[in-house]
Amino acid sequence: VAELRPHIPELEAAGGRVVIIGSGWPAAARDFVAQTQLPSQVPILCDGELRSFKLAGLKRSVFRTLSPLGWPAAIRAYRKGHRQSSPKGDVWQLGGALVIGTDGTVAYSKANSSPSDHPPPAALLSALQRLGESRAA
Amino acid sequence: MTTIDPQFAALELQGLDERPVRLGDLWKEKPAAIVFVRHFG
Repeated sequence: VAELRPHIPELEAAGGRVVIIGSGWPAAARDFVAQTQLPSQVPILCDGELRSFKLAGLKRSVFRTLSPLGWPAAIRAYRKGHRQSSPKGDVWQLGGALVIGTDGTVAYSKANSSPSDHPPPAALLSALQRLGESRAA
Repeated sequence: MTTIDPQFAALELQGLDERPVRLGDLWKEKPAAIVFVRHFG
């Protein structure tokens, strides 16, 4: 989210709405919003049962979560000052992203391969722009 | 491009105020970039 937050204005300017879904519960999500200073217009939804994660095809894996392959990116994030507090949710669940058009078209889909793998904001922006172009055509 | 699974669109999840939100309503008026975070923390 730290990587995403500065890009939210340009994603919204491209005609999109940014939505966050997490594997925790509402009280934890409220703490998360306070910590991350997400803009108030960004809906935050809670999925402790991981139903949306499963339907979106996202991975849940002990191996991928602990894999050393993700360590270099985690070290880079730490050096940039990003800190993770005690997790509130499913620690083995991995994240991802979907960009969905008003007709239900999926313009972008990503299942993260490790905890340090994130959807690039540029890819989200590009997908929103493609959807905007197809709506205008 | 594929179309979103209707089961995904029909899902209802709790928002910060603990009220249910139907996922399909999120992209009804404008496209949605949905980012899944591993956990809150």
